[in-house]
Amino acid sequence: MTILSDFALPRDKRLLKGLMGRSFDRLASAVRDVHGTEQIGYWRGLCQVKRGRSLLSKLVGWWFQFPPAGFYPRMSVTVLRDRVGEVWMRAFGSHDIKTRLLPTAPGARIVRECFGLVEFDLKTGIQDGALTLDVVGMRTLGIPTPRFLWPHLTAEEANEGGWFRFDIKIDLPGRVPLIHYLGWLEGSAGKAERAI
Amino acid sequence: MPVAYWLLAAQGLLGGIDNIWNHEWRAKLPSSPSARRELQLHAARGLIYGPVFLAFAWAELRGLFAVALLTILAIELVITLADFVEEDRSRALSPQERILHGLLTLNYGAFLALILPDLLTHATTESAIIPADHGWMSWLLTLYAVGSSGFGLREAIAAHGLRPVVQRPAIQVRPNLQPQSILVTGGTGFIGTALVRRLIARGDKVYVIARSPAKAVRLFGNQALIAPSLQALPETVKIDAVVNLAGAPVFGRPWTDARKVALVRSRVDTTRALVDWIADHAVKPRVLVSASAIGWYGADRGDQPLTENARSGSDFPAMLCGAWEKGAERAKGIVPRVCRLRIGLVLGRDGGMLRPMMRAFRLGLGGRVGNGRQWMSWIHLEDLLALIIRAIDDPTFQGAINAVAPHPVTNAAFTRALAASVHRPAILHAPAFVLRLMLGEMATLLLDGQRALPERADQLGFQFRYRRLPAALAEIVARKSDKGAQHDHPVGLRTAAR
Repeated sequence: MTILSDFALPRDKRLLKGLMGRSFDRLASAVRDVHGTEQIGYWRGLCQVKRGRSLLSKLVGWWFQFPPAGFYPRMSVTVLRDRVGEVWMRAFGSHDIKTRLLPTAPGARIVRECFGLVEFDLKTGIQDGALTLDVVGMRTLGIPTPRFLWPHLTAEEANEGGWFRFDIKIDLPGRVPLIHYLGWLEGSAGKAERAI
Repeated sequence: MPVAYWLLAAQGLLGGIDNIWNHEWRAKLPSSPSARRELQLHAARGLIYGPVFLAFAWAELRGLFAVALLTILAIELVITLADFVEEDRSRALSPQERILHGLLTLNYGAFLALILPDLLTHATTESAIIPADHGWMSWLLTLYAVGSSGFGLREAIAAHGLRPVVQRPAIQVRPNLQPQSILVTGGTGFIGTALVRRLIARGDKVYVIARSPAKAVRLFGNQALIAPSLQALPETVKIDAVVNLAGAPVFGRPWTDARKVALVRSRVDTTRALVDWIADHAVKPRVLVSASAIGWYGADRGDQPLTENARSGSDFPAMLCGAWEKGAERAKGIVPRVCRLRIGLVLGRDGGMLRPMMRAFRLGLGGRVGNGRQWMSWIHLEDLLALIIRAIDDPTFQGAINAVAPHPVTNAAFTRALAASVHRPAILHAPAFVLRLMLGEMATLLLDGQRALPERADQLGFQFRYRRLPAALAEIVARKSDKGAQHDHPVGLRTAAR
């Protein structure tokens, strides 16, 4: 269960903008597009998914309902906003993954991503216009989880030729590979726009 | 307790799991048109199982009654075999469902092997129903009887609801020296069906993109060109106008996050794909008419008159319409005109919200919703069709246009008018808190409304045939049924600047 009372809602409707303040504007345009839509966001693109092969990776992957390994020439991301935060639904073919993003204290630049009963606090950063994310906390059933159980996250969201490129690699403790997404979402340089 | 009863209890339990988990939850058979025959078989079996469970629970059957039970068990066996064939033909079974069906078959076989000798012996004795009580087992089997009959009824009703649409009579096509090629997405919905028929009737060449081509064929026969997707259309096809009506129904399943995403995808993804398809084509259509809804203005607007210049809302329907319109706006610069119709509550006899409402009102079960002060901006289907056709033909139509009649009414006034049109009282009242409890966020569709006005359509000289609600309802109630061809009169074309 997520207790919302300890969250201070950011002033800006856009979750990341509210958390990051002015530094949000230093993000590349494609990243701002995806994280900065005030209403419903919908993007299409393509993605390569690699999955860890160990038994533990498979078990954790099954628990979090990660998509099977493979190339997804048509994936989509839908972002719904509500009073509390954002729901991110990623569709890989017929496979959906839903997570919920919630704000934490303004100025802390930490966003909380909820995968059902497990929540991760992710510290946002900017590197050459790209958004980076680091795990700085983890809770299971609302209870803080010891650091040695935290996954290792390498996450970068950047602009690549007008496309939103995401490169997300998650390893289990002990650097056991869990999943690696590498994909592109059609940004402001969509097919229709290029045809104009 | 005889072993056969334990097996019967296990059969009921496994059957229940199979029904709830596999049939209802995973395969969603009751809403799957291709599963209609399977649903019929399940319904027959469910309704047979009811009396069988009851007979084993509370009676010992002798003579002809035992013969009757044997016959029923034999019929059940035939139904199950037919079901095996049908489900293999109509859908892909998961490994788990196959295993469960295998277990059910083995269990049922063992049950029959144990029960048949006794039943055959009883069949040769004098006919009688001897009461029996097996304690808690009798009550468990009674529970199964109720559950099985309930599922049987549900599946029978679902199968009836999925019956094929009766082929309508061929549409009478008027000679047209300048026919246009018009592509319609969502052409098998309530508005789409009527629009396609109208366009065919006026001599246009209509391409229908339909998720269920079989349904489209039943609706339009060979009078429309039907394709399951845009990719199925020939690359050289030349389209003059595109009408985008595709979108999953907003009122229905609860607005969970997954449902909201499905609603977004069904509209925005289709619209994006459509615009991309147009962009890829060398010969562009001259207009894209894309549906939106007055939900764009948001729920909490009170009595404020909302013209096309009003600001948008911030609730889910408003955001959904916003994303939908934004998808259509991508076509700006690709096609000469993009027209976004913000459609109100469409009144027609053959679909939309009015059909279930009229049913309730005819039974005397109609009444106002919430405090009744929420606005209902309605439009008669005939006027909407005329507006869409005008938007196709008239080069002055572009941008956002409210597709609503000039005189919106409050829910209380709507309730009174509808009750008067069917000559029934409307004394009931659906309290807001009950609806919010039942429908959650979706209750906003019933409890909130927008007072939208067709300012732009008026400026463009569009003449509404049904300007006031009583006249619109009277026409709908008076019409026996929409036979399509008989009503394919060119409403609104009198005013269209062609």
